[in-house]
Amino acid sequence: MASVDFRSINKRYDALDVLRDVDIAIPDGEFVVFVGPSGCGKSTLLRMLAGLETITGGTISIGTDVVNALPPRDRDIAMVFQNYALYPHMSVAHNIGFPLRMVGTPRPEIERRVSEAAEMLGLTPYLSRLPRELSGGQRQRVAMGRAVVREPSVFLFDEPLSNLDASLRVRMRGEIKRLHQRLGTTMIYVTHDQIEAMTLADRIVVLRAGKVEQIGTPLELYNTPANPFVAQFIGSPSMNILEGVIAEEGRARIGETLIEIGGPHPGFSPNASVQIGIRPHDIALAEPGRGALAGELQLIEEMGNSRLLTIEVGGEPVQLETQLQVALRPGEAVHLALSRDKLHLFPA
Amino acid sequence: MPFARALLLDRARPMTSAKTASRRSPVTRVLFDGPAFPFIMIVPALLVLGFVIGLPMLEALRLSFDTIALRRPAAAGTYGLHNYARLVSDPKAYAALGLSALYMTGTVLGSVALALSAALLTRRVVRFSGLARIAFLLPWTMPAVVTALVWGVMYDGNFGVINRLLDFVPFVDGRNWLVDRSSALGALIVAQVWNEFPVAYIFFLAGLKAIPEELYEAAKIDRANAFQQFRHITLPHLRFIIAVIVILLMIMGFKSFPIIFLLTGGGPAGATETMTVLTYNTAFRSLDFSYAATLGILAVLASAMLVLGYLRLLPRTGHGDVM
Repeated sequence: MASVDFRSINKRYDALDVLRDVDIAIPDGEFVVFVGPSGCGKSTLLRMLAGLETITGGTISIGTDVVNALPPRDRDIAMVFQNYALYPHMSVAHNIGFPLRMVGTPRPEIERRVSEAAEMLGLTPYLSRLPRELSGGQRQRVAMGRAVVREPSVFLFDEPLSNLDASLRVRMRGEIKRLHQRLGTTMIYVTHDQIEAMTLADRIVVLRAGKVEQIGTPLELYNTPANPFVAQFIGSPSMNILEGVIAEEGRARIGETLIEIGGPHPGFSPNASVQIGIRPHDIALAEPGRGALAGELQLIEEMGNSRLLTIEVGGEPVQLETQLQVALRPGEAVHLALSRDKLHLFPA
Repeated sequence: MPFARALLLDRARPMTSAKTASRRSPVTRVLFDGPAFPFIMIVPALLVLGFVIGLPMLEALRLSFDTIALRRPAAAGTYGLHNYARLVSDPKAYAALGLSALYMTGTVLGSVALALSAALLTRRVVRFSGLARIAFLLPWTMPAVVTALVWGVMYDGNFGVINRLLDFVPFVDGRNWLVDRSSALGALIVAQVWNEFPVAYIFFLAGLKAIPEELYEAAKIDRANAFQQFRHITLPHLRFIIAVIVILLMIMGFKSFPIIFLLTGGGPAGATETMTVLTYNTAFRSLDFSYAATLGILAVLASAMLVLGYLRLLPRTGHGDVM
């Protein structure tokens, strides 16, 4: 078990900056998820920690050792790949035991540890099969078994669930979480799926275009996003961002409408442009009147226990989630009330 | 549109009305609509093959029972097993068979080793990769005659470049490579390997390119060193390709002729007289065509047995084994 420390990490491919001044400190035993849109550098960061990519600048430490110059085999890490990367010509047992055989672990011990790992992952009946004779979920478990059997100090997961279908993904997510609870080893998990990030992580690192946007627990990111990007990336359906201007104390103007924003909001002076964020379930349908935004209903999406309305306000789409089962038709004029305490203000 | 394709399209079109069917003559219907159609389509190819391969082989078989020897023209037409009787007790034939086997083994091992090394060396080359590949493919484009002449000059005892270079190496003396009994066969094998290893090289390079890079990454993280990666990832993935290449090289090595013939002609004193060269010498130096045909039959049988035996030794390898 070990802590992991990224300090002023830079990565550059020719003229392209992939990562810029990334600082992340991960304490021992934590489950950290790197999340961000594709191309944000999250996988590159993980592969640099694994030793599969060179480090252009900065230092990476595992425990107390700087590992910049160490080859992957000396970093005491295990990794689960997106496409599983199982050895296709080896049986499940040989795949799982491979990391042990490579360092000359005695045979009886390999057998004991492989059967332990297989037991834990429910793979015992499949030990003599070849990877191609397994389903996607089983292959994914073999890849996890190969990682577990080593008892590494850090586990790395590179989008391990993205090749699975939705229901299997939810199940495997639970298994990974349980694995962490059981082993207590530091885990670093890369995904572009914010739901995976929210459900798995002790802490989430949001990356965009090679820079860290925010680091925090899932609830910190959800409740107090540092900027509109994080605000819109975390949470589903995504947060609405409306352009406005600060009016007098406690109010802001969106288009022609004055809305209550509570306050005080230090750092926002009158007449400053502001981006006002609000999550879809914090907006309600309202009677026309003071503080209600006027808009036109465009789209109704039923989600079972609630419905998602898309409303055009001042030319911009705003999403609203409601459990009210009133009769509504697209094209109808509606009015929206924003909950004053649920607003997120960002400087524009 | 090619004729065959037009035919296939015609067949693919469903016969909607009896009217269409009745317009065809009964002969056409039997030929094109019956189950015999696929077989009819390959008859022309079989005829060509039978003509250019089957007939000469049958003629060779016939010749091996006849007595066509230009030094005894009167014996022509005497059929019998005498050529085979002679073969069984001919030490030269056994020696030639052994030399062929040795030559084949040497060229197969040498070519596979050289091609595999070259492919491993150039697989990850990015800059000048085209140049590197052309360099390794160049020997293959060389006609065997040119290869033989160039190596003949290089091996020359007096002014060959190999001996010149050996002058710089202490304690190693140059020799007359192709005249010395102990070195002649080895020297021929080297020239042959140089000429034919590119065939294996392109196969191996293609095979290596097909191995997913992710497996090497996984292996690196699983603490495999460079040799272990080769042993546990590269080799198993190339197994099928190596098997195919070995068969190909075995056949090429066993029936190899021009380099041996041009460089030594089977000499010195029969030290490099393989089956092919012995057959040639028997036919065109001793002018005994019938015995040469018998030797040829032996060569065919021997190489067929070799290949069949090798195929039996192979583990059951399917395409999907590793992919």
